[in-house]
Amino acid sequence: MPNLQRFLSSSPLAATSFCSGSITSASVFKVQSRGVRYKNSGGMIGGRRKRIPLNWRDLNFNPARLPSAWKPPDWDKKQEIDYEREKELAKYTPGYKPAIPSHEKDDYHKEPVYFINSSLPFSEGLKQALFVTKSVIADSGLPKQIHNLAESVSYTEQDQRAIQVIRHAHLFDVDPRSLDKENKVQRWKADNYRIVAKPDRYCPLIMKELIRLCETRSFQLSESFRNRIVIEGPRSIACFRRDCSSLDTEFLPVQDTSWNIRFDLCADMQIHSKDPLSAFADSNAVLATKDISLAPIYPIMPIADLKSTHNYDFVTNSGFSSKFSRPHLHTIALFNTDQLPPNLIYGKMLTHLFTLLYSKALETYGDNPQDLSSPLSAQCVASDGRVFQFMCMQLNTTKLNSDDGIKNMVWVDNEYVKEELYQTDDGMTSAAMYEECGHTTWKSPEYYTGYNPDVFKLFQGFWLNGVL
Amino acid sequence: MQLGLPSCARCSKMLQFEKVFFPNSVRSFSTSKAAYVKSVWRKTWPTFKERLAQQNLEEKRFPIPRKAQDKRLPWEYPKQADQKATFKHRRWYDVYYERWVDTYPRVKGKYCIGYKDKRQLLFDMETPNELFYFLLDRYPRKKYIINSFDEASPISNISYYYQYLTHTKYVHGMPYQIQNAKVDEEYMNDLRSFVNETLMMKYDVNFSEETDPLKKEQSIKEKCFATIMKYLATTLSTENNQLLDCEIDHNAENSLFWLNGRGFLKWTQPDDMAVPYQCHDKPFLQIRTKEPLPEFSPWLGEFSTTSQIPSFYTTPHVFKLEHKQYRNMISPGYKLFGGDVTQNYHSAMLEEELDQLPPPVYDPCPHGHTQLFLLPKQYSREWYRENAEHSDITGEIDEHLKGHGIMSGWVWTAAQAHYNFNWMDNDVTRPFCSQTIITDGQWLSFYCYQLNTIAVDADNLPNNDRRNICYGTTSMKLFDEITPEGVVGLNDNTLQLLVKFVANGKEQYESVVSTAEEVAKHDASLLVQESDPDVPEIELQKPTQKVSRDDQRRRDEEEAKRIEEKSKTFRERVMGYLK
Repeated sequence: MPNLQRFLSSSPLAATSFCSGSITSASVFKVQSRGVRYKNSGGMIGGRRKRIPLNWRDLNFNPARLPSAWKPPDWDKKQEIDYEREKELAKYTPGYKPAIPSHEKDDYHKEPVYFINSSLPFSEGLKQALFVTKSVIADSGLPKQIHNLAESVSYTEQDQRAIQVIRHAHLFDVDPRSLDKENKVQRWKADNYRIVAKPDRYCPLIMKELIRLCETRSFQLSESFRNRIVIEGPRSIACFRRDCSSLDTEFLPVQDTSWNIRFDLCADMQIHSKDPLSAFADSNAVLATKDISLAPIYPIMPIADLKSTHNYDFVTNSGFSSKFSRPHLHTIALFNTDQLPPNLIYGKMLTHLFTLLYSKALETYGDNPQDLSSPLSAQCVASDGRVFQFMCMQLNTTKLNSDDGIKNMVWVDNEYVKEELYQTDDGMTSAAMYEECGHTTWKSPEYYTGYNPDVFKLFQGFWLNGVL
Repeated sequence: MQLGLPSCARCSKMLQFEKVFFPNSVRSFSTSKAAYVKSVWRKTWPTFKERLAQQNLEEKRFPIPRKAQDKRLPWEYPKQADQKATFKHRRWYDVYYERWVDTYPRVKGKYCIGYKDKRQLLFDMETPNELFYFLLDRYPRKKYIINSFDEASPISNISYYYQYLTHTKYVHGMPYQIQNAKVDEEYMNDLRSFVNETLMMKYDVNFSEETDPLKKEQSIKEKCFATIMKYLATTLSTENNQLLDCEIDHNAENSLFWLNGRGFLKWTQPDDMAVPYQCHDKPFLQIRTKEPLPEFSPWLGEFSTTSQIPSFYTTPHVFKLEHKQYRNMISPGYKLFGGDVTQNYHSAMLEEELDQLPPPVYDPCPHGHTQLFLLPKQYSREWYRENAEHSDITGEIDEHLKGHGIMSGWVWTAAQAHYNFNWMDNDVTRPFCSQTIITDGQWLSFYCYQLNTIAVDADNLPNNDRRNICYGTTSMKLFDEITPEGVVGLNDNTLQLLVKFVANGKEQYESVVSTAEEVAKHDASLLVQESDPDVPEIELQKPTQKVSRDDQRRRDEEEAKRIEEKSKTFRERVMGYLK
């Protein structure tokens, strides 16, 4: 018997247990060769799992265990493009668009640009974003005026309405993707397992509905509601040259510490108003940032994990024409549908804020790097539907060619962010609006647990900043 | 010890594991973008035995325990003799056989929803969940799939056909309370400037990079109309209090399953089977409220019981509609109840808290208010003109829009009625009203649907006087053109109608309507769409827009003939007479 047990534990079948979660456990039944045909579904009601191949000999029990970096030996050779042949094809084929080598394209630059877009955030999160945008964390926690505003704006029914929004998204929303119109899913499975709301469905819904609640509140409070507009998905681009003079290059692989950097981002939602947001810090506090040094990121390069390209246009664009009637950015809302950890999402928020403010600053003050006479400020909220992150930013300078002088200022809702900046990814924490909500949360009769009223209060105060 | 295999490959019923995909991992950003999506096999139940407890005993192998289980009173469950549930549980636990047993009523004799006498069992149902189990899940047959909007549909005069399917009376014009509602001038000024600026976002804002021009256009339309509708919903909340607590669904899906008429379905079956239909409707945005909309036409008035509904004498196979079988669905865009799923019973039993289990919760906003549809991105009014595909079918533009309005109003309101525990034999006792707006970005169509009956199947229809009512105005222009300089020709009537629709509610109704006679008088003055009794075929009907178009065409032809006659010489004219 012990022999048998040893055999079982050493055999590949035993190794593919549930806990291991390796690729192979799935691949025995899931990743099969292309030729395998399966039995048709039986019966009228529901669909059976098509798991039984007609011919067992077609099943590949030994899928290759390949590392992710492996490629076939002739891969590189096959990927090479014969540009001369392309030219010839273009000569004889009308409408043919030949592949051109990158150095012959119109937008080719000798120096590469390091870029960031919506799908490629800073891999080191807030720490890296702070260094690249030349920002410092001004104070622990958010500015006090926001907390005061949140207190004064709140009303009695707001929690009840926020809870209604949460339950709408988690319990009552119908996801069209979950409706099975091809009889693929068995009925008991559709009723009991496919009822969990997916983040890319509930996160936008919760954010949009909470924003609508805040807009209704602002309409009740003052006339300035008419000065605002909520816009979905505008795109803005910021291009700048960053010179990191304070970086110690002694042990770094490169000697040159200045790079072209380009942010090309789409915010999920943002609110614009006719009047600019008032500054979070006065001029004395701005001058005091001269003495604060940037948070060091020494072993990491500022451009670590950024992708580079030689084909680009180096033009800053705020995404709004000069005719637009509500030119001033108020707040950005980001939907964290990928459920990134707080550290990364803070970095993403900072890049979004910086892109919009920097492009606005260039439009108003010109392209010359300078310390702004009146700083620009804006706010950002991000959420995955449960955990909320808040950030305020004040752009004081567009001089990014040195690490000295006045710096931009950032406020984050986390009070211990300075200490947690140097911990691992999981170290940073944020406030959750509720603990759990779903059909299986049967411990509470309302089917949600741990509602935190402070989060929506802060959200509302944030959104109504400048309304009163 | 069990083998590490997830399950026996041959018996799919014993499946203990399901594949779960994780969202993008953190590290996948730094590596190549084509990285595989992480997934694991998650256990559906902690042990094999517990998984087995979810299945019923087979009737053939265990006849006696099955009979014993069925005889048991459903309100008991074997925790303690004195313990009873506060609500009707979906299932109870058989301790001896270690199985869960469902508590819905057992079928005695024959059950079939196609005949009224064979579906009397539906009156025994206690919860809507049980009703839907018998009404929908026990009907595994092929059904006809109806599209509420399909511009390539082969059906001409489609609004007449949808009138027949939904037993609806189509009325040209708006109901009394909408027609006579007043809109504040100051409010209209604000709204006009806001709509102007919102529409100008097309040029003023650089939206995300999208290569497909149709998709880009569509996404801009979506953003503009969502902004306008939300603006209306927030600013009108002072006049219409129920908008304060309303809920808005984005990209929901409404569906309805219903029976209508009798006909041939299958060679092996009798040729007078009840014909089933299924429709799925995809509103872009819909507003739901806590209180229902007031009625458009008096519930007991003459207007809801008169008018001839067009009829159609074949099954829809002649139109080559999709005919297939999958799960029958009814939903007005939200789930019937939250909680009360079967896992909860098992986990509560393991923790010995079965008596603490909470009842299901229901949505606080079950009443539909307004829904907004965006027509598909390839839709164009130009396409209906004469081209290589087809001759001039511009008369069908309004037909398609009217059909869309009728069908989506029916689907939404009838689904609400089913959630209210009504079905074809248990007809509604109050009208279900909701409003539909259909737009392609420039042209808007407005519909008010009042559901007076859902008993439209072949057994109930002969004894049923009531008709559903759909008020509609089609093809109103919102603007003429959007140029980089500004919006040209913003239509005030359209904007006013938009405001009246969203502001509709108790307050507006009470301020406008004083007596039922006024409403009846207004209704009597409206033009009702009816089929010609001498020529009842649907494809031969003449809706108003076709009549006016034909008149115009005839006048043009006569004019052309007259000019041609004039230009002829005397000799040619005489030769023409001689011929």
